[in-house]
Amino acid sequence: MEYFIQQLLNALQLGSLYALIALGYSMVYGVLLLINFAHGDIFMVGAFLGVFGSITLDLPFVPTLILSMVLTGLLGVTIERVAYKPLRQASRLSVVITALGVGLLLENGMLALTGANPRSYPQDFITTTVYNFGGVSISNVKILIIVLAAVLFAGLYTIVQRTKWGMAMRAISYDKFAVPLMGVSQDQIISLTFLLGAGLAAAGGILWGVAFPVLNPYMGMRVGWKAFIAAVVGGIGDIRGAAIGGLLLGFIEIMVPAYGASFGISSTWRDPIAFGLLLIILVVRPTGLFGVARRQKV
Amino acid sequence: MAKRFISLALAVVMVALGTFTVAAQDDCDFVGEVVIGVIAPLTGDIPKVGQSTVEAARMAVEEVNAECGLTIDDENYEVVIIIEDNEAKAESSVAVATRLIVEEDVIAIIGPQASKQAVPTGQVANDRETPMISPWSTNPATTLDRPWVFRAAFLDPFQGPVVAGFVVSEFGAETAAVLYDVASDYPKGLAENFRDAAEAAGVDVVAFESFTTGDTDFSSQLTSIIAANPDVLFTPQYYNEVPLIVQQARELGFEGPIVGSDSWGTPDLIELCGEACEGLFFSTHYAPDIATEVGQTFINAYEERYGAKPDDVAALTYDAFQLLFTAIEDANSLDKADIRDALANIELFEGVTGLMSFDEQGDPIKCAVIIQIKDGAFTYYDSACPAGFPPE
Amino acid sequence: MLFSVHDLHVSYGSIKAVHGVSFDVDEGEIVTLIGANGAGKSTILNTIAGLLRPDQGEIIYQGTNLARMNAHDVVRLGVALVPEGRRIFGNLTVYENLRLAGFQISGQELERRIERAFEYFPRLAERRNQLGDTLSGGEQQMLAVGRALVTGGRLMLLDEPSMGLAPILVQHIFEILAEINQRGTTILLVEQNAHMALKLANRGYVLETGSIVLSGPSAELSASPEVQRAYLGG
Ligand SMILES: Nc1ncnc2c1ncn2[C@@H]1O[C@H](COP(=O)(O)OP(=O)(O)OP(=O)(O)O)[C@@H](O)[C@H]1O
Ligand SMILES: [Mg+2]
Repeated sequence: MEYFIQQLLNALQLGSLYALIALGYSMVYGVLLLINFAHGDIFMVGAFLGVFGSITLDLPFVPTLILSMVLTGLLGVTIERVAYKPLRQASRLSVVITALGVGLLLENGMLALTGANPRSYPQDFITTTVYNFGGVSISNVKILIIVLAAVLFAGLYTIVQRTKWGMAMRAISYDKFAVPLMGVSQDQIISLTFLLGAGLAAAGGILWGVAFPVLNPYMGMRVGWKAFIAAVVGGIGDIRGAAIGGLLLGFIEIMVPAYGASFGISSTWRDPIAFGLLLIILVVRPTGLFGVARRQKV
Repeated sequence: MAKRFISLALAVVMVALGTFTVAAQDDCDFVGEVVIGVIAPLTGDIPKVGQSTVEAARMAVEEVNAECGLTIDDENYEVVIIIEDNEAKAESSVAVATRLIVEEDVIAIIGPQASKQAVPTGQVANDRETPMISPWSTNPATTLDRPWVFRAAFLDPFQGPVVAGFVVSEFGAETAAVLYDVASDYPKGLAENFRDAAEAAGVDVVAFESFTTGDTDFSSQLTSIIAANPDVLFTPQYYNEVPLIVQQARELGFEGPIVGSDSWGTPDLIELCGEACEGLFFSTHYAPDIATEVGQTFINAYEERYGAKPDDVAALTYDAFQLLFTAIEDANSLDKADIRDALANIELFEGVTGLMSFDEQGDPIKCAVIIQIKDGAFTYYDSACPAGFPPE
Repeated sequence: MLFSVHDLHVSYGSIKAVHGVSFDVDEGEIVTLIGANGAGKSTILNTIAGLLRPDQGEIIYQGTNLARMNAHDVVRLGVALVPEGRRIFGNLTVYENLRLAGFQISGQELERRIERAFEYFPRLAERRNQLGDTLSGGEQQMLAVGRALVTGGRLMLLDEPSMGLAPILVQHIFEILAEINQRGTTILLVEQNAHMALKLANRGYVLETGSIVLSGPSAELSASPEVQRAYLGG
């Protein structure tokens, strides 16, 4: 039982991180029908801005987190304005290629800026404390990640559900045409979407860096792909889907090695099994767990 | 710095001249020369390796000639080295090896260093029945089924038994766990070797968990490991993974020692891991603060001569020369076959990098160095030997 | 005069849809623009609303030229378009649709306007938390008009509000449009249903392949033989 609870906590931590990143993919797709393949690298930039805040500026955790979220959010907005906006009428393929190009630019730019040596946050950024409850270890880092991810998600959910900005975001994802007639500037809503998505990715990046303190400019690729898959499985375009998809992926990635051995499955099979399961979900529900089939637009 | 530059310049001049004789004592009455070929990457993408090779080679030769060279049948022979640049390329290496053997008639070859060149060059030496010792190559193919080829560095998986011995002697471990990357040859080989050696030594390997390259979250495997309650955790991973493994293990409540292998040995590890890695141990070939008498003598002499601490290439190259010198004097002959047999039969040699002898493949059986991470630095702790070595 | 269009030219790429249309609307009037399929009616309304850029021409509303304005800025001036096909947001509730329509206003003014929309269409009030997708066609049209009521009060542009609705519902909606007009909103109504449109409107224009071919008071147009033949089945 302690073993299961411990693994559940592990899964919650990993899943929360995936969820924070998946949200950005899902929001941008919802609003623009664009798969922002640079999002994983935006996450990486967020993590590195944490290094900038904590080491270069010598800031504590909370100011570093806010700084990185704001700057990364603005980076997201800038990327949209400079790279994607001119292509709104262009073919999907050109946009996807541009997104991949932006990702490479961020990776190599960061490589040029910081070098290939991995980085980490300073020792006193978050001083790890481990609590033990009847054989279950939980560190303050785990609690922080799970709670902060939940709070950020709740905040985003409130924005999307309760504010006029959120309504506009949902409205755009349903029908772009009529949105300006409501007095809404589509560009503003798109910028807001990128701001929020990139800001959350930055929070994910910093928390990732606290949990896994070996940062390198290529860290966003793998994590980004996984979060993207989580977003698709959850139902891309729906933020609840992104959250559930992220948690589900974390759960599978932890539970396969945790219990696989008792079924004679080696951990080499973790990724194939994880993605096989996700594929099955997509076969059963092609639009993902929360997705609805998109209205065919004329 | 200037000194190092001059020595490198000298090395290049030596290559240009083809041969180089170290000034010897006048009163030794040398009756002949022992010509040894050295193949090093003086140019190409690893010139630092080339520089260390040349520095160590010159030092070894000057030292031996200062003691009147090698003694065969009570007569003194002067040691002469011919240094060839292989440009860190396999083809060049094969070409210069052939030239050294056929035209220069060398009695043995020290080098090449990197496996990329050592593997094909070993074929040439073996075919032409010339003893060769690669100081630095760790690819099994370099020596495999080549009776004429030897090496000074132990093979990667060899650390498995060494560390298994160490965890028993140091921690009295009765149970152990292993966490390794199943998708990468080095950790996989090492993990399996450790497991086999540990079980042979009576240690119960209670968890043998793996992950795949690029993973950063090991919490699932570590939770399984902790549930099995091992005395010690062995993880032969790289410097960018070890900090994650160690920190996550501690966060999940593992309090026992965590040990590793030479892949830990990059200073970045300390920076990334911080406090969490303090006090941990790993095995490796060589440490620049090695505390044995032979080691200290070499390190001090090298530092005095070149103004910098010798690296692992220099130490292993120096050991390769000492092995060859020992074999030639043991053989008491300048016949290449006799020298080969003498190399293979070296019973126990104490080099800078530890006590060693050769197995039937020409790979060393030797003691490794155990490094402790102490006060934020890699510190020589002890040398550790595999079970049954050195022989009583 | 509240609103006038001068020599408006609009095209889609190389396809010219509107060729030099001019008309005007006085404060408090209901003016209708009638024409067959593809005549260019929607193109004109969408251009006025700022969704399309004209090639040439002026759209003067209270002395301001709307021709180069963004749609969301046109809204700010009190001009609201009920687009063809209703285009309500099916994934938003009735209330959210109305709330979003009041994007540029807030507080009491917003609540007042939403309440007013509910007054006109009590059926929407009953369904305030129902998703747009689940409304019937008539209810969706009510919501579309309700949205325009929240967005802006001075000039309402309607693009075929009768489309796809049962005659009785059309009747109902037109009655409400008359009421909205009486309470001070000027209306420009585009219709294929010339009969209903001319009954409601004070004046009308007849559009054929991008040009105005006829104009005058509703009664006059209803009586004209061309309109009789082409639009009134007479
Ligand atoms: N997006 C578009 N791209 C190209 N051509 C268009 C587009 N929209 C409309 N058109 C063309 O412009 C002309 C006018 O179309 P418009 O939609 O304005 O007509 P309409 O009078 O509103 O017709 P309906 O009564 O069927 O709604 C038509 O010939 C149509 O084919
Ligand atoms: Mg139309």
